[in-house]
Amino acid sequence: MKHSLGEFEELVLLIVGAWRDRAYGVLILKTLEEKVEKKVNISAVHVILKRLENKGFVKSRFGSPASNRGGRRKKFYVITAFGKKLLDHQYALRDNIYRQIPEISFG
Amino acid sequence: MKPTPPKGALRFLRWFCREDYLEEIEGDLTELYEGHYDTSPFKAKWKFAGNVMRYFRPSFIKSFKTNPHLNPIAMFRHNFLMTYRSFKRYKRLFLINLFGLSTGMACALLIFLWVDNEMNIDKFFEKDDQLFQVMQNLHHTHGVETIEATPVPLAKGLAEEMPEIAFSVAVVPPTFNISKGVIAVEDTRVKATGQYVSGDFFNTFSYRLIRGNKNKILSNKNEVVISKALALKLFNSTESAIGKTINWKARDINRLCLVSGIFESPPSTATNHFDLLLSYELFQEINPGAGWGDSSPRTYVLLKPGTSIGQFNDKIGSFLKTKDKNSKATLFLQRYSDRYLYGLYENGVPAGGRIEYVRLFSIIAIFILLVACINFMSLSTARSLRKIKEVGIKKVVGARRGTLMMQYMGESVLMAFLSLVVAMLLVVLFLPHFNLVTGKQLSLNFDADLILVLLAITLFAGIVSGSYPALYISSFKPASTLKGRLDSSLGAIWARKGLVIFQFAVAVVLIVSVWVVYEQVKFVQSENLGYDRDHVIYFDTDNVNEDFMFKIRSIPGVLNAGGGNMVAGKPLGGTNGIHWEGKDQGDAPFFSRLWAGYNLIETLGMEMVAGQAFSEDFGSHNQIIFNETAIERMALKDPIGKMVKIDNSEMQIVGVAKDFHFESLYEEIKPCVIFLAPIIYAPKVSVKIRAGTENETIDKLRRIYQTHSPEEVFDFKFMDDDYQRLYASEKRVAILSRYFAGLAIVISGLGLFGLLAFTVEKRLKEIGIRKILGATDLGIIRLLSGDLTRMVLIAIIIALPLSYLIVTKWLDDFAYRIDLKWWYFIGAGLLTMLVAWLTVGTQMLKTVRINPAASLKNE
Repeated sequence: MKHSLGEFEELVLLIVGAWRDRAYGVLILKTLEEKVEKKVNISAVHVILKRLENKGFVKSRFGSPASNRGGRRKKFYVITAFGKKLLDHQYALRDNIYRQIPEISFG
Repeated sequence: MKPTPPKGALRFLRWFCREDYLEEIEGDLTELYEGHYDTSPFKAKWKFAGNVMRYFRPSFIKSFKTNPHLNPIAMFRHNFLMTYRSFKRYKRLFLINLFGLSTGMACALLIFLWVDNEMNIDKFFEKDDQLFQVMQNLHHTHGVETIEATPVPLAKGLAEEMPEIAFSVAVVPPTFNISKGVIAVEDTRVKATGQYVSGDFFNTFSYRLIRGNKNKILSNKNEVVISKALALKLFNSTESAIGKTINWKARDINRLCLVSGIFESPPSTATNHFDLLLSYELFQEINPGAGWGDSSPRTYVLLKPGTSIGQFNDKIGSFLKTKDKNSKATLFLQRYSDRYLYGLYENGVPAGGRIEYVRLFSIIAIFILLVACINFMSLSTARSLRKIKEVGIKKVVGARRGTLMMQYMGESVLMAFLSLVVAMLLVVLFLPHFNLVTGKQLSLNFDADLILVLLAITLFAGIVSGSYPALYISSFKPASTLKGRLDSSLGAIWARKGLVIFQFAVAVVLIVSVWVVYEQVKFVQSENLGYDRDHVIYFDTDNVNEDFMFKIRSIPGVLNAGGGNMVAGKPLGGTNGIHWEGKDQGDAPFFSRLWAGYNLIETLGMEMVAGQAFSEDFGSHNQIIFNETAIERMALKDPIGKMVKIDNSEMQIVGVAKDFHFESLYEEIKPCVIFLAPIIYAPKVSVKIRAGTENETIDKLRRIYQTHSPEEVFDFKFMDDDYQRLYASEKRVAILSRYFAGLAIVISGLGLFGLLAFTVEKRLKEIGIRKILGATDLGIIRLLSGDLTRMVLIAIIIALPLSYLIVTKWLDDFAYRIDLKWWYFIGAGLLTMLVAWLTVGTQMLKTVRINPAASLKNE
């Protein structure tokens, strides 16, 4: 597979996958901040989401208008089969190589 | 209450952000903002704004390019087609616009040609920026008088002492004392204008010298340089002229001169026209002993490059004091090419001159063009009602406002270019007549300047007349236009009315001005000057004697005749060397000097308030006459019989002449002294002819003249013609402004006509209903014309004070002027009103007579 993901892209894709179809900008941001303990700006999340969408790893749909957003709709992201496959492939590859590390103590 | 994110940041985001991303980003940002708001509202706001800024990057900014699929050629073709169709459909409107704009542009163009010519007078010299004329300020106790005449040795003196001067030249102008001289070569006699010039003439002025050496020319006092035209006339070729002798006779000179050079006649843009140049030394020989105290020649200098004129003026100011301790005169320089336009001085301070007319006409040109543009503006805005659907559809389909503005602007610019074509035709057609009125030889030379001006005028007209309609029409809201509702905003109505008011105000101002100029010119022409110039002719002769005068007087048609240097309205020379009993030490008033032979005063019908005119019975030549102003100035009581001393000779005052206008009416009457001219000093003979016998009397005069002095040419002028020439520029202004006022009112009338035609059409149904309900014809006329009357009235009210200011300022230039009468103003107002009513009258009648059934039938 010629596609590959950067670390941040991979994280966002994972989170989108983990939240199934409830992932949207702010939620992704909050998850990132909690789990990775890293200061991220919302615009960075959007940039990644747009890139993933362009590459076909996620797809999006509008939800219904929400009052806490000034009446605007949320945009939910869902991981596509292609995205999932990419993740699988990436993890399989890593797992495979990871296993080849000899069980030697690195102390 | 929910906190709302900062508006500015939000607006900015909405302006730049891609529309497909906008909702998501806005939503997420708002959600975050609300979360932060609970902890710190202030920080939340800043964070929001900061976040917005982070989206300001290429991947989120929308494309500001217009539709990439837009085909500009197709668009222009479409616009062009629309314009063409609208012209074709509204032919009358189109013709009104075309006629108005093209006459306006033709006016502007003609005036430009004239102004351009005026601005280029005397500008043809190579070193125009270094060429200056030395002017003299005479400081009297009563003020400062600025004159062109300078002391005889000045040119030489300046050149020797001032290192800044490259060349200097003294010139005795052709108009000085003598009008024309006679050149004789064998039997050919030609009248020609000559001037005496010192050696560096061709170095200072870059007139073209065809033959001769410009450094050596006129170094010999018997040399003469003649113009090419004169050479061809006398000798048939320029080559053979060199080395020939000609006989020059003018007043007290009669001598043979050797032709040593030939010059190209000055171009038509020169103020100084002359046919031959004689040596300045010759002039000095004829007028010996002229020193620093006298003033007659003009002095011109060519400064070295880089000389500061301000500093140099300071330096030469008191130059005359170093030569003559008693001198009360100071010197200053004025650029030679500025003399023509800025020739007037009042009390030593520049006071404009012809430039006033240049400015006046430039302003008139702009106003006429504006009035014409306004026609276009008000007609197109009025017509916009028909365009609302078009604009609505275009906007819905996605036209931007800018594109629409371009379309309407393009329409008016196209109109302007069409008008340009017609305007050029009009200019070509009217140029000969215009030249006749202005006394110029203007022509359309398509050089870069003219083409630039044409483009400028056209674009100005196009853009000005397109600006308001473009802004107005393109501002319609698509939804309301498609519903067929046009909210004519108050602003639009007022703008339209304002335009009409402006047009008519301009027309009123022009009419008042024309009226006043006309009355003043009439006044000047019929003003009692204190002498009678009707049926008086005068001619030059060098050969006057008693016998000749006797013969003239015995012609039956001659009422009287006398010699003297009286020329209608020409500024005279003068003297400040008159001494009288009781004169203050140090007071040296300037007296204009007039030479009159016996009988001249009677010939011109001048009145004496005391004493008598010159009489041979007095027994001596030492008689003198002053005018009333002079006597007042000298504060003499009982002047008759008193003695005055002039240039060391005692003269007895024999009479006091009633004040008369020896100069133009621009000038106050000044002190004047009349010397008794001995026969030989009276080269100009004035003859009063019995009315109705002019032709035969002049024939007889000619015969006597030719037998008496066979070597001269009988060349006479009517005094009245000369007088009329004095006011030639006023007359030109009068005629031109009459044309322009007429045009302005015609153009405004046209606009009004179009506008009314349109309103009437719009209200046709309303009128039909009113008629059915019993409205009278008069009522409908009042309904339709009420608005118009109000607008014209407002225009008149605005224009009258304005025109009062303008005409009083113009009249201020005249020392003798008409009183402004109230009816000039009221009359102009009524006339404008009348024109307005007449223009719309026919339209009204047609509307009133319409059958209501016809107008209500169609929906």
